[in-house]
Amino acid sequence: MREDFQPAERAGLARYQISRRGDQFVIDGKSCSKCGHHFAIAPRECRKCGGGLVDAAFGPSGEVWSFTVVHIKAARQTAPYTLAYIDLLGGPRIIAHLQGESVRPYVGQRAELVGLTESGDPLVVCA
Amino acid sequence: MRPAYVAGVGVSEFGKFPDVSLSTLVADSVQSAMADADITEIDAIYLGNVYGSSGSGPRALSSLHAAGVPIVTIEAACASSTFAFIEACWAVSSGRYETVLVVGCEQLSSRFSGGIRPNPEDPEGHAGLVLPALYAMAANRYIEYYGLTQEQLGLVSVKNHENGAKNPRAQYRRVVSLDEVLSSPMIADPLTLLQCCPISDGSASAVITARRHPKGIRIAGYQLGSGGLWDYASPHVWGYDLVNRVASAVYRDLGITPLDIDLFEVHDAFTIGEIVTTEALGLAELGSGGKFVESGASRLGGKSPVNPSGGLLSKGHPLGATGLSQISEVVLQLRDEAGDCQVDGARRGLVETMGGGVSMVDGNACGVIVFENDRAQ
Repeated sequence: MREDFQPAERAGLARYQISRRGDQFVIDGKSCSKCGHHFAIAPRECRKCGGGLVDAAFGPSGEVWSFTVVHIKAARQTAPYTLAYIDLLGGPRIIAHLQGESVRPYVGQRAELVGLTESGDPLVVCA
Repeated sequence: MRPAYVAGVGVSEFGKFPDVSLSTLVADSVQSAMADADITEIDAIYLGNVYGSSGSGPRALSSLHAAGVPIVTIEAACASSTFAFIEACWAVSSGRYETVLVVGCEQLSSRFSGGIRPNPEDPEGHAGLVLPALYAMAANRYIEYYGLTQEQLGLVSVKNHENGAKNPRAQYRRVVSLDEVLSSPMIADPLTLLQCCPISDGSASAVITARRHPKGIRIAGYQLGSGGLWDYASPHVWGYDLVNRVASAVYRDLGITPLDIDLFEVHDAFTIGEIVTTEALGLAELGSGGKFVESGASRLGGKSPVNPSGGLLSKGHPLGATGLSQISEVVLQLRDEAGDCQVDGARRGLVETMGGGVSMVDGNACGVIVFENDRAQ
């Protein structure tokens, strides 16, 4: 059944590319050379204006756009877990796990990308 | 374009029926709609369904006398049958067909327990952003940014369950108190269980015709849209821009405002969804949807009743059938046949259905339709 489908790690799958630069983690994304729009996951062309894209790195600093503590089961996750949309400073918005159990941040709180969770999702801590 | 009318509507029972086939649920709603319309001949069938397989249209209709009739199957997440209805309406208005049957259907209980699992190909789905969590993000943003309160969120559920308790077609016909809503198990902070729609199976159908019909409710206007980019550049929560854009286009087409509409059936899969939608539809100012529900304006008997049927929270949410269920409720209202849920003297009703869950787009589908009866002329 479709809900049991597990994604193959195939080319073009929408995954954040996270790399380490010194002691910091960043998202390797793209910016539009025409309109300047930022993308955490590289599309084939700018989704806003159709322009060409250039490499860009975003993070590690950002702020919490919103968050929730999830109390129900989801694939690869152990409840409860905290998810947040993080607006990376000068960059795009990403979905990330917050480090710590049942951590409850606030909107606008400063956050820092610190790596990946065991399931391969961005992991942030809030200051 | 010629006018089109809803000649008949029908719904199956909504609930959890893992042992009942989809074709049985479909037969219930189709036979009911055809009998309601007193029509036996149709030119085409438009069907909305989400979790079907290849050939889901003919398979869903397999227990009915429909073989050979063209079947167009449309998937647009929760808005699937709203999109199917809009496309069917256009086919009739444009002269392609004279009379069409529109069907929405879904069998969820045999596939899911708990929440619907998100697509793991999206980063949100991979990270575990189940649908209640997606809406919870909007709720927490509203709480901290606009001062929405937990009580205001809970009041949406109280109101819709109060309405649903009067609706014989509702999956859950039980009044709930604010305390019950807020103290029910937490699903995704701040959304508790009673602020989340149930898993539902069901089917709903409608007959659209170009002929003036004794029961005919005029389809006054409609628009559909798919989500634009939703990211750091949008000042609004997920879904707001799409609903606002589509609804504004309908209002502009018809030369009306929300004040000209007597009732609204909107997508309240989660309480915050109704709050954001009432703002996007222009019933409340941005950020004041909580105060709007608190004022009582959206209750039955209020200035602008929202979800007098009980909404998805109480009536159930069998994804592919939801839009046509909403349409059925508005049609019954405009025929003065909504029983204890009736909005007295209703002339015009609006349906809004939102389908969501694709990464970084502002919802993947939204349909808005306005219906009117002779009193609106």
